[in-house]
Amino acid sequence: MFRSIWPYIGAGIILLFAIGAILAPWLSPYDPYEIHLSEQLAGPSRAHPLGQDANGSDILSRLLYGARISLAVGLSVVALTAVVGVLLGLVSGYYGGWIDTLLMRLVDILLAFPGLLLAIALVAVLGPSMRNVVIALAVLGWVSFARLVRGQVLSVREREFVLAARTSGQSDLRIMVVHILPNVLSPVIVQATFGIAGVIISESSLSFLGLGAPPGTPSWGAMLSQGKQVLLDAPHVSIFPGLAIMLVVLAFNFVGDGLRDRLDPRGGSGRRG
Amino acid sequence: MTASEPLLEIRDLKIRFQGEAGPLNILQGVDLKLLAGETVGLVGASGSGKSVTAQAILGLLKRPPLLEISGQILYEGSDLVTMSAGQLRQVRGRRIAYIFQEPMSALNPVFTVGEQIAEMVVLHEGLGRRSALNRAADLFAEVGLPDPRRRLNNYPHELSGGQRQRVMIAMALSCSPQILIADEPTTALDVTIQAQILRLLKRLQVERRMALLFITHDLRVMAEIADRLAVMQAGRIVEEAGIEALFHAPQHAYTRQLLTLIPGRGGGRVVP
Repeated sequence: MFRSIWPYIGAGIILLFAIGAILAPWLSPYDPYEIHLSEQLAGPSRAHPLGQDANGSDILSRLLYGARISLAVGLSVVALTAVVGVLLGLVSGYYGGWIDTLLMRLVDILLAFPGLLLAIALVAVLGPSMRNVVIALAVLGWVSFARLVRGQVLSVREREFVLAARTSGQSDLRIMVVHILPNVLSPVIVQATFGIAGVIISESSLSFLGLGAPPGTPSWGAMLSQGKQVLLDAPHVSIFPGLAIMLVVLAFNFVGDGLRDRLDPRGGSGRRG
Repeated sequence: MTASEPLLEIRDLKIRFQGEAGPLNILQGVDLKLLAGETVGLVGASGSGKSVTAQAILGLLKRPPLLEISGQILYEGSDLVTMSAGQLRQVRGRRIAYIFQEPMSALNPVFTVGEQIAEMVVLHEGLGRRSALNRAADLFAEVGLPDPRRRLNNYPHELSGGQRQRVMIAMALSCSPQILIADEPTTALDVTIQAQILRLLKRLQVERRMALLFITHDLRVMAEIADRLAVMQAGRIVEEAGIEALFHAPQHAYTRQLLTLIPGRGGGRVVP
């Protein structure tokens, strides 16, 4: 299906992390909240393969539980924003006129904000919690989907099969959902995979700044933040969550690249219409 | 309805488009009648307003560029120009069907051709999916697609140009329309396939007693298929006559000019 090996490697990494996240209660050797102050900052050992953090908690266990947060936030934000963005982009592109002008100006306004800064401001107002992180990231996230889909719809709606659908007496809603939507989904899928990677970084950044999960929750960003204070004495506390973030983001990007090449009709191997 | 009463009558149709440099008069008072069971050819150069006339019949012109439309398009006593979108949807596809020039782009690339026809049948006739697919296979057989059952599962890109145009025709026939508008249906095809499609359209038109409005810039095509011809120039119908009369004794200078453009004909006469 894919021409290179990287998308498969990416999918494999994501699968591993997903299994780790789902089976965290069974796979983790220790309770991620367990505190052993006598063993704080202990390096990797046979008992604790990735070492222990400032509270003496097992880093491997915390990483596995942290995968749940990262993947859950990534998937839920992207699912939410993709649905909203696709719907608005579809309506905006298909109808044009004042609906389009209104929506696209809103998009321009939202795009003028630095994304993370707006998320920080929103979480600061709403209060730090995972739910508010999802809200803050979703407020901006739909914009890229809406713009992408609108652009695609603008080109697809001029194609003759859309006119043919109108000549055959189909309603606007039906034309949008049945005829246009399936023709604009490929770039949305690609965008969604890159989107998950971006959201995972944003979530980690917010948690790093103390605006994400409540203190003590095993979130990769928060772990990284905690490790920063002891970076020189116990680098393993930051390195492993950092590696986890990097691997997952890289994996999603590999898959996104692969999907883009596969779904782009100009790529040649995709099924052409 | 008597034989002489028109099925479709266009009266003084005027259409203005918004052009970049100001309003453009695209149609300047078109009058055209289509009787039940006859084939009328609408001939003219590119930009003469043929397709705009055809698209106006089904209310397909978008605003913008459409600025203004006046006149009447009477179908069974109701005016299609003033009809509501909902009423128009009942006419489109079910009573008046449309075939496009480029069958590749007129088919949705992400669905099989069987699904696309079945969708029309389900939509307009309320049949179940299975019976709709059976109907699609029957239609494929009627338009001469070999191995119709297997064709149902093909995507548009898996068919040849001629096969795709047959699929488009089958789709147009799916709801047994009274009027079939064919907008340059053979222009994108090579000559041998063109002849096949023309014969097919003629046969179907006779068998189903449909009225056929055939749009083309190619007078040769008309000689094979039309009963009557309407010649368009710059948004007007400049001459309308039976095929024999028009070929043998063209009245308008533009018609004579079009006739001399037929290759191999020179300035002489060709029997249609």
